[in-house]
Amino acid sequence: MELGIFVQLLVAGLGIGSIYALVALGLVLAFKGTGVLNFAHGDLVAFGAYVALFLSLLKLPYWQVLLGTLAIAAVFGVLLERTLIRPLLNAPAFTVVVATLAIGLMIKNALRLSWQENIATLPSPLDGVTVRVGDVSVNPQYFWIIGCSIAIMILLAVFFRRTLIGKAMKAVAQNRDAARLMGVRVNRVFPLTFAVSTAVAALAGVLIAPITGIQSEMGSVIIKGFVAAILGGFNSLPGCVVGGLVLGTLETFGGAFFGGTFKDVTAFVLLIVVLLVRPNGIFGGAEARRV
Amino acid sequence: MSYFVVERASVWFGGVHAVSDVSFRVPKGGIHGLIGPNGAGKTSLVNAISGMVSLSSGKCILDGREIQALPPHRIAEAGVGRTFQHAELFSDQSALTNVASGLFKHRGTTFFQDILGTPAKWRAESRVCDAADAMLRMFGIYGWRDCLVADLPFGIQKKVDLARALLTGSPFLMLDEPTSGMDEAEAQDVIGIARRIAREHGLTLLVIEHNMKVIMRLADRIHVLDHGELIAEGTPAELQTDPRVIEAYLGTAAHA
Amino acid sequence: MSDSAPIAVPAVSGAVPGKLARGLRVALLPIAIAVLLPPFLGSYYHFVASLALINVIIAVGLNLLTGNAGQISMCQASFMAIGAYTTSYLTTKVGLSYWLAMPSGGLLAALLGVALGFPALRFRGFYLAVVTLGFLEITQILVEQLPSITGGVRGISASRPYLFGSKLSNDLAFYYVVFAISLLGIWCAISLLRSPTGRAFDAIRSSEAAAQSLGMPLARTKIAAFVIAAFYAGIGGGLYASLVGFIDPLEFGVWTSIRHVVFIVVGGLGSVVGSIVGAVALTVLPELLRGFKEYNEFVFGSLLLLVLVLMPTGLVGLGPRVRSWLRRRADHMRDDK
Repeated sequence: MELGIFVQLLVAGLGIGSIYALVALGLVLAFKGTGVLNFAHGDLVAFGAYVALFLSLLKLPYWQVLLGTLAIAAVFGVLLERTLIRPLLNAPAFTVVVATLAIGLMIKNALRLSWQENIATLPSPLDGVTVRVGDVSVNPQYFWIIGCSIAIMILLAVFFRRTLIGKAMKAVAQNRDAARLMGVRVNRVFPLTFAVSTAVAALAGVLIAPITGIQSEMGSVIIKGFVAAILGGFNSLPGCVVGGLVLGTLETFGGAFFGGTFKDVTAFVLLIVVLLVRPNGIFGGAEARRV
Repeated sequence: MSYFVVERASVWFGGVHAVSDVSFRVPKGGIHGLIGPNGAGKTSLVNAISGMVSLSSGKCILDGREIQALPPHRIAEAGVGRTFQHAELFSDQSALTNVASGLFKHRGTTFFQDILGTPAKWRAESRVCDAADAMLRMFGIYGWRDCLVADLPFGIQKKVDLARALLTGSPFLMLDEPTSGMDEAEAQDVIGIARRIAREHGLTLLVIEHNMKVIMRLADRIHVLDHGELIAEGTPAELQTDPRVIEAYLGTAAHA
Repeated sequence: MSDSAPIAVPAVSGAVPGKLARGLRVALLPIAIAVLLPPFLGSYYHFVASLALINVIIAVGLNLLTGNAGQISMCQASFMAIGAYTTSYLTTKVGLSYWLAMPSGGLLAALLGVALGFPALRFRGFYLAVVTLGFLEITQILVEQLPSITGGVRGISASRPYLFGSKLSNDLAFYYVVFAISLLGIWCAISLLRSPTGRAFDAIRSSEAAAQSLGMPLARTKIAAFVIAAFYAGIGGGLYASLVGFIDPLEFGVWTSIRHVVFIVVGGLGSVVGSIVGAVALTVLPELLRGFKEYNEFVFGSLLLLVLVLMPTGLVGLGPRVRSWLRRRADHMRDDK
C-alpha cells in the first residue's frame, strides 16, 4: 500500500476514533458519576453541532463558537439533570433507560423541527489548509479533531486528579454514600457531572460536523460510543480512548479494503470478539452494571 | 455408615483458607450444630456443601453418594436444602410465593402442562398454595402472606426463608443462623417448629447458630470451627467446659 | 430427583380456584368489548386493533423473558422477522397453507431462541443487551444477504390465510383470528406465571443462589425463557406479515426492538396485564398523535417521559411492587435532604 493512502487512512481512522472516544468518554462519565446510562447522549452530540451552527451564523469567530457551544452545552446538561434526570435517579434501571431514550427523541425532534432538514455545515479553523503526503491529500480537519481531543483528555485528567471538584466527582462515582458521609454535596456533583458529560458530547458534535455535515440523525454515533466504551471495559476513561481509537482505525481500514458494509459491521464483529474473549474489555475493569 | 459426611474439606478464597481440612459426620435424623466466632468459616463451609462455592479439596458424601462435584441445583435435588444468613429471599415477590417456591423439587407438572394451563396444573397449583399457606400459619406469619418480602422485618424474613426450606422436604437441611433477628421467645418458638418437623420426617439438620442457649438445647452434637479449622466437637455438655471452645470465643477479648 | 417426600401439611382452603374465577370475571368485560365492538367500526380500526394485538403477543413473550426471568433482550424484532419471513416464504414460494406456515415460523424462531439462549447464559445486564443486539445485527445481515428466500433489501410479500375456503382479506375477519391467537397467548402466559416454571423464572431473576438451592436449574430455565419469548415473537411476526401484506428488513431493526422494550417498561415489567396495556397504549398512541403532524414524535417522547417519571414501575406497577418502591424512594429522598 502506498504511504500516502496509508497515512490518509490512519489519520482518518484516528480522527473518527477520537470522536468515538469523546462520545464514549461522555457516556462513561455520566454513568460512573450518576449511575444513569444516558441514551440521549448521542442526541447531545447533535445538540452541540446545532448550537455551534447557530453561533457561527451569528458571524462569531471560531474560538467563540467553540467555547460558547461548550458553555451552552454545560448549562443544558445542568438543566437536563435538574429537571429530567433527578426524578429518575432512584428509578428502576429499565425505566431510566427508556426515559433517556424518550429525552433523546425529544431533543432530536426539537432540533429537527427548529432547523428542518436544511443541509448545513460548520466551518473549521483549518479550512483552506491542505495537507499532502505524496500524491494524496489528507483532510486537515482530522488533525484538528485529534488535537482537540488530546487537549480535552488532558484537561479532564488534570481536572479529576488535581482539582477538588474533580476529586469530589470521582468520590461520588466510586461510592455515593461514602462520599456523602465525607461531606461531598452529592446534589451539587450530579449536575456538574452532567455538565461535563454534555460539554464533551457537544465538543464531539462540533468537531465531526465539518466532515459529516449536520443533521438530526447525528445522534446515531452513540452506538459507536457504546462499542468504544465496552471495548475499553466500560468503567475506565482511558479505556474509552483506546477503545474509540481502535474502533475508528479498524473501521476505516476495513472499509477501505472490504467496502462500505464492512464499516458498519466492524463495530459489532469487534464487540462480539471482545465479549467472547475478554468480556471486561481491554482494560478489564470491575463489573458495576446497573442495567 | 453416617448419612452425611464431610471429609477433609477445604475452601480457598483468593489466598485465604476459609475452611481448612474439616471432617465430620452426621447420622441420619441427627441434629448437629456448627458454631464458632465470626469469620470462622461456618457459612463458607455451608456454601461449599450446597455448591455455591467450590470445594478446593475434600469430599461431601450424602447417603453414600459424593456430591461435591455436582452443580448446585443437582446438589439440591440430591437432598440438600439450606437457609441463608441474610435470608436470600425473592425480594419483589410475596411471602406466599417465596414459600411456595420451596415445592419446586416436587413439581407434579411438566413445562408444557405449566404453559398450557391444563386442569391438572391448576389443581397442582392449588395444592402448592395450600401447602405454603399451612406452612405460613405454622410459623404464625400468615398475616404477611401477600406482603412483599423486601418490606418485612428481618426476623419475619428469616421465618419465610426457613418455611421455604422446610417445604422442600430435603432430607438434609442446613440452617444458617435461623434465629438471628428474633427475640428469645420467637427463637425458641421457631426452633421448636423446626425440631418438631425434623423429628416427624426424619430430617437431618446442620445448624449454624450464634445463640448459645438455642443451640445447646437443640443439638445432639456440636462442631466448633475457628479460623477455618475444626477445633472441637462433642455433646453440648462436653463443649461447655471445653477450654478450646472457651478460648476461641473469649480468646480475643482476653487478649484485648 | 430427590427421594424425599414433601412435608405433608393439612390442606386449608382453595385460594387458587377463587383467584382464577375472579380473574376470569375481570377479563370478561374487556373480552366482550374486543369481540362485540369491532363490527361497528371501520376497517382502519380493525387494522390498528390487529396491530395492537400482534404487539401484545410480542410484548407478552418479551416480558416473560425480561420482566420475569430478568434476561434483557434487544432482539425480539429478529424473532419477529424469522416468523414473518418464514411465513411469507412458505406461503408464497412453497405454497404451504398459512395455518402450517405461521406456526412453523414460530417454531423456527423458538429453535433459534435456543441458539441464542446458550451464549446468553454467560452474560448479564448491559452485556446481555449487547449480545442480543449482535444477534439482531446478524439476522438483519442474513436477511439482506439471502434474497432468494427473503427478497433481500426489497422485501417479500405475504398474503392473508384461507379459512374454510374463503380468503381472510376482510380486516375484521383477520382481526378475530389475531384476537383468538392473542387470547391463547395471554392465557398461556398467565398460566405459566402461576406455576413452578413461572416461579423459577422470577426466582432466577431475584436470587440465583436461592433458586439453585431449591433445585431450580439455571441454564434450562433461562433457555426456556428465551425460547418462549422467541416463539411468541415468531407467531407475532407471522401474523404481522399477513396483516400488512409486505415486509422488508427495515421493519425489524433496532428501533422495533426498542419499541418492544418500551411496551413492557411502560406497561409494567413482569406483569402480563402490563404487557397488554403497554402494547395497546403505545400502538394506539402514535395513531392518535397523527394529528400533530411533524410534532408527533416530540409529543410521543414527552408523553413517554411523563408516564415514566410519574409511574416509574409502569402503568400496571400497582400493588406490592409500587408500594415497596415508593417506600424506598421516600427513604432515599429523606437521606438526600
